[in-house]
Amino acid sequence: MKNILSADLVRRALAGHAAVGLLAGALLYILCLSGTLIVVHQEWQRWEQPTIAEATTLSPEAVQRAAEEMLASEPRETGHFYVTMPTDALPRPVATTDNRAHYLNGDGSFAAPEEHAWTQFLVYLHYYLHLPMLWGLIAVGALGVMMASLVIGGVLAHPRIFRDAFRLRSRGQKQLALADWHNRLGVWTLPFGLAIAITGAMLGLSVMTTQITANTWYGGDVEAAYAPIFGAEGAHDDRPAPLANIAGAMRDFETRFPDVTLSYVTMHDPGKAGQHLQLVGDHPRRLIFGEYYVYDAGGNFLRTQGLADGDIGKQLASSTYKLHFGNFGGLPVKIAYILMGAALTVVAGTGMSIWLVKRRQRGRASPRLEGAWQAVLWASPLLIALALPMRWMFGPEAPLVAFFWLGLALTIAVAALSGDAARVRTLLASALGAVMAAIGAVHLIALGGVAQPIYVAFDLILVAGGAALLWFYARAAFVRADAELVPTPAE
Amino acid sequence: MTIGLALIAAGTGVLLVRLGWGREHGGAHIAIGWASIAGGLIVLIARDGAWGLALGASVAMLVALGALSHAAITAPRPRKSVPLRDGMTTVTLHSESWTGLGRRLLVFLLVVPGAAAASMLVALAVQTLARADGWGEANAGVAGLATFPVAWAVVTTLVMLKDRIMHMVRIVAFAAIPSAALFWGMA
Repeated sequence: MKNILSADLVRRALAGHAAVGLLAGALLYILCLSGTLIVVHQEWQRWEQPTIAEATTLSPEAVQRAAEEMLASEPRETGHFYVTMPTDALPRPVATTDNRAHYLNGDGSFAAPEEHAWTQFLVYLHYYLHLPMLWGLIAVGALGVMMASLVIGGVLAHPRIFRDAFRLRSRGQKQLALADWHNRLGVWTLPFGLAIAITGAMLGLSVMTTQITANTWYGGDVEAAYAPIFGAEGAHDDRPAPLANIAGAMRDFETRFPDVTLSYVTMHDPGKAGQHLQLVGDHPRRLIFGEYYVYDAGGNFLRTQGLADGDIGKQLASSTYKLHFGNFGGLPVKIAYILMGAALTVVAGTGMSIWLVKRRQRGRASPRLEGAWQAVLWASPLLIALALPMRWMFGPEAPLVAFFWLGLALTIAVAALSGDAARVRTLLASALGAVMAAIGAVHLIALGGVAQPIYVAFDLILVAGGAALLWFYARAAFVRADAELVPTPAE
Repeated sequence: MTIGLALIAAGTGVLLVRLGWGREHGGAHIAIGWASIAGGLIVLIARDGAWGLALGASVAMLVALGALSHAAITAPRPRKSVPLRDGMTTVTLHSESWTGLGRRLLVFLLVVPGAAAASMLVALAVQTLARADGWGEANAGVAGLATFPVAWAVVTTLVMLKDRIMHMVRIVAFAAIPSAALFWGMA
C-alpha cells in the first residue's frame, strides 16, 4: 500500500478526510448513536410499554374482526388499514390506520393504544433528525454520502492499513490511543460502515432521485415512478362497498405459500369499491424485506410484485432495509449490529477528538471547541436517556424533540463557555451513568409481575452500563479531587 | 450444517490472520486465514446469496472486533517520559482569515450542492442508458437510485483529494458535463 500511494496523496487524502469529518462529524455521531440504539427498536417498544398483553399468533378471523371494529369506530376517514403480525421481536399485533394505532389481543379485540413515544422519538431521530420527513430524509441521506466518502478517504489516508491491522495502543499517549481506536475500528468495520452508509444514503436520497425520475419520465407522477419497483396502489373508486375479505386472503396465503411468513397486511381504500389487499410475506434467508402478495376485495389472489424473484433491480431495492437495520438473522445478528454500530459510533466520535488533540499539540488549542465537542459526545446519549423519564412524567405527548435539541444546544453553549473539556466530560458522563442506572433500576422495580427476560436483560444492561460509567468517570473525578487536597512536599 | 461450517471458516480465518500478523514467519497463517475467510464467504454466497454474504461478513467483522478488544486489553502501559510527537502525515489547516473562510465556503458549495448536482446528472445518465439498452423500468429506476449516492461519495472523495479550487471544479465538471450531454441528448 505504501508503494502504491504517494506521500502527497496520503497527505491530501487525510486533509480531505478531516475536512469532511469536521463538516459532518457531529451529526454523523448522532446518527451512528441513534442507529445503534434502534437496531432493537421493537424490543425498546415492548420495554417502553411492558404491561401490554402479548399474543404470538393472530388468526385470519381475528384480523377481520380488528378491521371491522377499528374502521367502524374510526374518528376520521382513512385511506388505509394495516395490521402488523406478531413476530419474535414484537409479539404484539398492531392495527393501524391513517389516524391511530392499537395493540391487539390474540382474538383481534383492542388491547391498548400504541403509545411508544420515546421509541418513536429515537427512531425519528435516526430517520429524519426530527426534521420534516422530506427534508429529514434528504439530510440523513446526504450524511450517508459523507460517511461513505469518509470511509473511502479514510482508506486512502491510511498507508499502513494492513501492517497496523491489529495494533491498538489503547494505553499510549492520547493522540496515538485515539488514532488507533479510530483507525482499527474503522478498518475492521469497513464493509459494515460502507454497507450502512450506502444503504442509508439510498434510502434517504431515493425521494430526490425518484422525484427527478418522475419529472423526467412519468410526467411528475411520483407514484408512477415507484410503481415498476414496488407496485402501485391501484385505481381509486370511492363508492361504498362491504369491507374486503381479509380472512379469506390470509387463509389462501397460508395454503398457497406455506414456506413464507405473513408479516404485514395492508388494506387500501377500506370500505370502498376500489379497495384491495396487499400482504407482505417474509422469506427466510433473504435480505429482501418481503414480497408483496396482491389480493382483490373478495380475498382472491391476483399476483406478486416480484421483489423475491423478479427483476434484479426490485430485489436490490427491497434488500436495502434489512441490510441497513440488521434484522435479517434474529437476535444474534442484531447483537452483532449493535456491537459494530457501537464501533462506528466510536469511530465517528474519535475523529473530531483526534483533530482537536492535534491542534493542541501544535500550540493552537481550542478549549471552547473541545468543551463543545465533549458536550456533543456525552450530552447526546444523556438527553436521549433523560427523554425517557420525560415521557414517563408527561405522557406520550411530552415534547421530547424540543427537549432533546434545545437541551443539546444549551449544553453545547455552556460547555463551550466553560472551556474545560475534562470537567464537561466528567460531569456529563457521570450524569449519563447515574441516569442509566436509575432508569434501569426504576423500570425493573416497576415491572412487578410482568418481568419478561428481555425487559430484565435491558434493565440489567442499563444498570451495569450506568454503574460502569460512574466507576470510570465519577470515581476518577473523586480520586483526582482527593489527590489535589494532599499537600505536595514543596508546600 | 453447511452454513455453520462456512461461518466457522470465516471467523477462524480472521483468527488465523491475527495469529500470523506481525510474526516473522506468519505469512502462511495469514495466507491460510484469508483463504479461509474467502472460502467461507464463497460457500455462503453460493448457498444463500446476499443474505449469506451479509451473515458471513458480520461474523468475520465481529471476530476481528474481538481480536481488537484483546489487543486493547493487553496493550502495555507506556513509559511516562515518552514525548508527544506529530505523525508522519498531518492535516493541512488553511488560513482562518476572510480568504480562508471564503475558500471553505467554496469547497462546501462544491462538495455538497455541486457534487450532488453532478452526481444526480450521472445517475440520470446511467438511467437513460439503462432504459435505452432495454433494462426495463424497474432495473433502470433502481440503477438511478443506487448510482446517485455512490457517485456523490466518489465525486466528494475525489474533490477532497485536490488542493486547488480549480482542480476541484474540474472534477465536478468532469462528472457533470458528459452526463448532462448524454442525459439531455438521449432522454
